[in-house]
Amino acid sequence: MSMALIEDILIWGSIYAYAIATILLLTGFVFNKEKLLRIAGYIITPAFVAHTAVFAMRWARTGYFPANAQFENALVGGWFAIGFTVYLFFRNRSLSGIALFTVPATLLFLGYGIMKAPDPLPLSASFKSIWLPIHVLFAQLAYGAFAIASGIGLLYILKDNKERKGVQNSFYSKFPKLEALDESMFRFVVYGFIAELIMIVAGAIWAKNLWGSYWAWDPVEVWSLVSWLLYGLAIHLRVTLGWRGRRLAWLMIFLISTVIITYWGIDAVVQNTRHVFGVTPKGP
Amino acid sequence: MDERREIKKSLPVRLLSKFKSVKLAAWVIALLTIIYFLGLVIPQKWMFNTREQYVAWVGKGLFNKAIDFIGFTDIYLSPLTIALLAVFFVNLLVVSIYRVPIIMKKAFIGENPPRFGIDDVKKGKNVQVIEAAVAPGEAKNRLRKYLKWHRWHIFENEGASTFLAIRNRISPLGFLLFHLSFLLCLAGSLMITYTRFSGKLVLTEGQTFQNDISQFQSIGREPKIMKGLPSLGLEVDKVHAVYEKGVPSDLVIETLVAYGNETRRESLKVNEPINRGPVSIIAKDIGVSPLFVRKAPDGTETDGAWVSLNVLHGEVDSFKFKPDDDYTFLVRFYPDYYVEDGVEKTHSIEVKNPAMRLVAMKDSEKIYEGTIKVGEGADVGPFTVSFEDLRYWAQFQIVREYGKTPLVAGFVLACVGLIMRLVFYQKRIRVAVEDAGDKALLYIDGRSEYFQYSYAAELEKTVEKLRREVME
Repeated sequence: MSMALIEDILIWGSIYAYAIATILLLTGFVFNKEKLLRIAGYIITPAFVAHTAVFAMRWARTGYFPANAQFENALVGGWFAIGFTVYLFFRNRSLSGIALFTVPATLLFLGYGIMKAPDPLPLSASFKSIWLPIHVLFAQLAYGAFAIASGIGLLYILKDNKERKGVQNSFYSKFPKLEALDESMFRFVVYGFIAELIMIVAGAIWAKNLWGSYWAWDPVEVWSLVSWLLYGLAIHLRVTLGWRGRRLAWLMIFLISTVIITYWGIDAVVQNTRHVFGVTPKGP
Repeated sequence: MDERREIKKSLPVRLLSKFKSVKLAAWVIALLTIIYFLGLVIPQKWMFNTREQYVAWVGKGLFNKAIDFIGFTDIYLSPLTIALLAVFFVNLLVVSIYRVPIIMKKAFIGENPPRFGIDDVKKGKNVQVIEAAVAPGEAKNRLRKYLKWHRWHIFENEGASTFLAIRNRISPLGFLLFHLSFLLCLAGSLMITYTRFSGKLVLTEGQTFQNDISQFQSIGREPKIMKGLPSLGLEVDKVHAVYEKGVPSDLVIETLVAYGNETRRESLKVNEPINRGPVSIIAKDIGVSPLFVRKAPDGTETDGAWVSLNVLHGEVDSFKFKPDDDYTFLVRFYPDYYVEDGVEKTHSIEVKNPAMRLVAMKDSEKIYEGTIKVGEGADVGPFTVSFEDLRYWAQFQIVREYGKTPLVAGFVLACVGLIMRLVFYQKRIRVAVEDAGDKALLYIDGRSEYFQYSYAAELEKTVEKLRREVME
């Protein structure tokens, strides 16, 4: 059996597992069925193992860090998001609710990637730089962390809504206290904020070597800066003006839009960006 | 009179105090975000292929004129954007200056630690108590030793049975470093903006650049200050290009670089520019330069040139032997030529069996069309064009700029400052030791700058460990 076929089987296996987990998570949350959430957790874990195997196989097969074209970006981005989720699942079972946000997001991300260019392409000379893995790795870490922060934000709002109504709900009581959710949310924002700064700095140094300037006001550059500034503002609002709880949770849910715009929005609407996440081979 | 002086004195202070507000920063960031968003939807000058297209767009109605008038067709450098950025940096500067005394106090630099007694510790929010079957002095010593070993900074309350322990004492300085980094980045960016020269240069294999500005294909940016450019010479020996499945996977340009009094052979690669002082030579693109020779019917060479064409990826380019020549040649290039079912094709983008499809035009009329390989000629009528040889051309970006050092220092400082402030944040423990006859009672109250909720659990664990391992 060829490596490519094994990769195909594993990635499709992961996608189906994430799809089933998404259904279970949604049903579990909507109908307050805790058992379904637990089953989803047990489905996500082996799916993540398969996902990891695809990540490693792709790296071994191509000889470069998988960051070439949409499929590989989806593979790595999803890997970080699910990795965080699985880590939280084992470390603090009660936080596994954030999977409601990360698993469907990864499913869509992978689905989008696999539709584009799943077969490995030779690495373009412009991508052969030590800064590529650093830039991409920290981008994935940052965006993975922001996705988790949004997921926790969503969980916070759902739990807080029940508590405000005075409803004693055993389902939501399984999740951490609101104070713990609030802190976790902030922790992931801090993590993402630092990772995004390193991503921007690494990208600027790489751009100088590749394009001759550190900064060129490219739409993707601008939006990664906007996203970074807004998350920085969120940190300021919490530390200085005491924004926490519901306010911070809503802010986290809103701010994930800046990541979506940076990652997908610009590539979709702007023709003139030099950050093309998909690679189309040029040929006569 | 006094009142008026009072008002005069306080006015700058009041003005400055406006700039230290986080709310102002929030508004500025929000407005910048809106402007950057508009930058995605409003056509920008650089998006137009030619100046004529841009002028035509501006001329299409009042709205476009207004957008252009306020500088939003170059939105990232528009007066409003620059003004907002200026406010943002003043805000950062004022906030940093205002916060210096607070930060010094927080980091206990030139500040005495607060004095507190046993009762103050007992009233703390997260008080934990340890009973130690040792004398109070011994208990205090053990705890102090343990904390020091774990990198806590101890502040003694002279003569008192209390002390303060701080982890990551200088963490607040990270705030200053982080905000200072913005100013360094700004300084570096301004230096780069004002001293930057950037031009594109195209050289065919064997061709030399000898510091002649007229050789540049285009000049993207001219410096506003320090206009004198250092002496630079560049010769292209050989271009090695590798394509895999149509993807340009490797490019090496063998060059001879002369800078100042030094001349050296260098291999230039994509992502690996040649740097000499403030000058960088960056590989941007490659293409092919066929040698076309024009011959009279008797075989005499009447003209000839290496023609740098942009045809490597299947594009059609054109050339003339002289600018005022009546004949224009349209060229399509097949790097690895073959014919299938009467259709001309190329196996790949790698130059293995090159062929040129030539269309000769005179007065907008096609007078010749045919495909020629190296060594072959096209009979245009009054003359023949022969395809003698093929070389690569390489396009370089030559950049000269100052300001890299403060910019990169700013990058590093930003990362260091942020990690110092948000990862290694301050944690404090107030300890009081009470003599309870045959044992000592240790009251420990802790506080963390951030994550107070989880710190309470962390403190509980630490105290448990102290009970088991230190006070046994």
